[in-house]
Amino acid sequence: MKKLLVLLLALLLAAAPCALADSINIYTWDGYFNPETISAFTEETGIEVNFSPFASNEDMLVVMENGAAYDIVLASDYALNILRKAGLLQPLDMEALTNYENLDPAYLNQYYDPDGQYSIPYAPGSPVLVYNPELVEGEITSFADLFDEQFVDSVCLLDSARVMIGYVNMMLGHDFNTTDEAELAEAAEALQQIKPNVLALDSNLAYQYLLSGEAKAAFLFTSQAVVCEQAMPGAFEYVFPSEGIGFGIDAMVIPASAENPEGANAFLNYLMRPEVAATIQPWTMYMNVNAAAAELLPEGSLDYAALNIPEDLFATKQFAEDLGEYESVYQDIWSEFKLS
Amino acid sequence: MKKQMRKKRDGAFWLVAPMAIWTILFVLATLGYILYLSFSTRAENGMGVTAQFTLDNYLKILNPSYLKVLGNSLKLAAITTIICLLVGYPFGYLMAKASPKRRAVLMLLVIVPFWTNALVRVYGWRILLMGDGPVNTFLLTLGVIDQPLKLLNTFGAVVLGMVYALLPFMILPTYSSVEKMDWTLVEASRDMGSSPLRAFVTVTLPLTAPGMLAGCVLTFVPSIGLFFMSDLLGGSNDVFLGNLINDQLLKSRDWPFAAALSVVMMLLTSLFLWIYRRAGGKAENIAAL
Amino acid sequence: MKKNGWRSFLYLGMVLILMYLPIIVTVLYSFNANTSRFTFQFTGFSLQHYKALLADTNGLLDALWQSLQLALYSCLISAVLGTLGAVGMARRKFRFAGALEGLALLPAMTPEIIMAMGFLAIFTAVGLPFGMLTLVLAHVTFCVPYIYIVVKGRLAGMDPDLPNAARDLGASPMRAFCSVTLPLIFPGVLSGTLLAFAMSMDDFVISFFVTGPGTTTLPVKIYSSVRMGVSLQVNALSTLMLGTVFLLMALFRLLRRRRAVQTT
Repeated sequence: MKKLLVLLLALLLAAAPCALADSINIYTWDGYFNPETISAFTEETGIEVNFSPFASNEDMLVVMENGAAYDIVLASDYALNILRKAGLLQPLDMEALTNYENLDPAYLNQYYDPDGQYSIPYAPGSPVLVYNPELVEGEITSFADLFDEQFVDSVCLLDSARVMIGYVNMMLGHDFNTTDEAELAEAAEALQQIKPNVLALDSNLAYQYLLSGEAKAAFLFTSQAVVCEQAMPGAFEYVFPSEGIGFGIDAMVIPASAENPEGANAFLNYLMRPEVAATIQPWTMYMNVNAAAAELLPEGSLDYAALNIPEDLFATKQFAEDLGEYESVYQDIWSEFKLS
Repeated sequence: MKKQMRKKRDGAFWLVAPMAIWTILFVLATLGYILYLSFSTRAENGMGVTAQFTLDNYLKILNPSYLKVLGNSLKLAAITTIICLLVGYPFGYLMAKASPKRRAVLMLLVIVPFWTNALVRVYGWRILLMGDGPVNTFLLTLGVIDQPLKLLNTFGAVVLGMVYALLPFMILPTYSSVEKMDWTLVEASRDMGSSPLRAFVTVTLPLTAPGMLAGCVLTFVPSIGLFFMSDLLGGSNDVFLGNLINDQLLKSRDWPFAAALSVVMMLLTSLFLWIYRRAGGKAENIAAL
Repeated sequence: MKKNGWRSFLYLGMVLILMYLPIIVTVLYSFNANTSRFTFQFTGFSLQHYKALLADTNGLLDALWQSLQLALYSCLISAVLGTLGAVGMARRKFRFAGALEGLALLPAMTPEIIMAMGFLAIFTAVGLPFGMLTLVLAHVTFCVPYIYIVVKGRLAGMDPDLPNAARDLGASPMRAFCSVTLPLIFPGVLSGTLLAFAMSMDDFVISFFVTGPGTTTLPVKIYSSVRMGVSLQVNALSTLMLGTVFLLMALFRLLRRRRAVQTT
């Protein structure tokens, strides 16, 4: 019996994939890379690319904090900032990254990587407020407009404490990331007033309610809004709330535990080539980070409202920065909001 | 006694040993880690924990809004269990009374939905319950309603999802208890002049109670922890214990509090199991599928 | 009772229809011609998702293969552990039997995410390489209780003196087990294992935290594709899996009927 067990365990160990000499392991959401972009890289360099998918930044953080070894992690800014502060990242090999200069400086040296040592931006964007003009009276321009009585039981918000409370903060004239107790109490109270209007809190499938007509207005993430505009051009209005925008950048980093940093750097450099970058944006449907690729993008790739943030708003963009233990305060306000 | 003599060489110890070792290695170690977490202090930088003993994590649960979450979860679990019982018991009963050939088919039909991914099944429900979905369209064409009903994002939708996910756990134990039942007792009762209803209430129901109770345990216990139904069918408009633990662990990154909540949840379910055992149920009945 | 036949048929049918409604939607949508990334509208009939699935552009077949392997290993090991444990426990009253049973049942009462965190911390502390090995260890742990309980339930209805009788007739303990005990409890072992198989195939939370590069199971794959839109290839895969199960069932019944005809 025991021998059998030992044998089985030994077999399992042997079956575990031994790392190929030249391969890289990438940790990100499933389907975030265009398979064609990847296969072209493997063809050219002989480096095999393996993907391990995660469902959320938070899941990824728990795994990385336990010392998992991936060669590249592609995740959102605040999560990368946590990894950086924990010393879990290694600096990029800038000498190998000859294509770095192709990147649009607007997305470089952000708070999660102030000296631009650790990350390559991949997909930036901001949630956009989408509404159905046929069902809505008047024009919607701000987050505050959603508090109107006409929206009873017909607004879809993102199920994200940080982003939604951030918008309330801005509406009240406070900082997106405030940790001031009085200001947060005010935000919690303001949230209560929008509760009757909330149909659902949904970060992934809110567009379904817009299409079915159950929601008059909904916050959508960039790529969802682009797909909506593609599928039903002219059916909806897309606005960035006048109070300001909560911005986000998904970027790629090399963890300190990476087993093949050379391969990882080679891959990053490959992705920054203009002709390669031009295959990424149409796939992700987020904003384009590669200035040199802008002209090579397929016609009309950037002609969507969700990808064109008005300049004045873009200049004042705010990130949902990691707030350490204040995260709890935001989560508790959010739970309270759901419970009420 | 012969049995006594055999005791030493029956090999029982060696039969149990592998499972015991496995359980101690993996379950006890995991439980130990969770207990350790629940008494630890959250690390300064908001990552992980420091080994400083505290009871704060447990005291924090006494906060009214967390207690409300607890109450919410118990309410949902109770409603789910009752509906499962009302729908599942007759199903198990009728299944046991069907011909053996039909029984096998029914059993398979009950289990097969489990073969599709849970998320995909819930997506199916979402499509059905949408404002312009098949259910509303059907009712509108029938003329039962003249306005689409709001079906999705309601408490009812969450209950539906839970019942749907857990119904087989009620059907199978009740089926097996009815199937094993001694029908001569019912006949005897009928011969003595009881009405079918009276015979059912005084004979069948008590005889099948263990299976019924087992089914209740098997639906009640998991329904406290299931969390994605509320997100996908309820529009996240409510918070249940499973959601709270998930959010505290992943989003607030408060591992000790999440661990303390889990310990409380384990104690609650253990308490429920203990009551069940006192009520006369045995572990065998729990999953005598 | 016969006169109520149609009524019971009606009730069983209605509940089953409800149980299969979302499955029917899943199957129907696998033929959807709509290719946009996020979609729920049915725009027409097409087999393209099946074509894409079979070409494995998404790596779904690979994930299915990983899941099947994992479920198979976990079920085999936990069937052995759980069955032997149940048989042993039934033979003698152990002093810590209650405690062990309670402990073994604990994984079923613990929120998955917390179990997952525990596994992650322990496997990291021991230094195990994350992959199929850690997946199997974790899955066996949550599968054992189901098999144990089901087998124990089956044993409860069995005459404990039967294997003893075999021993008295000179059978070795092994022989007594294999030729007397095992055939008697086999239905229990089988149904427990099938249940464990389904649990293992559908587990996301625990699998996610104990997996490593190169071993992406089907549920991990599906849940992590939510953000970019779950492909209708998943529906196609589910349809094919269901189709296979029903086909196997039909074949099995056909074979049994033929054998029954031959023996009579």
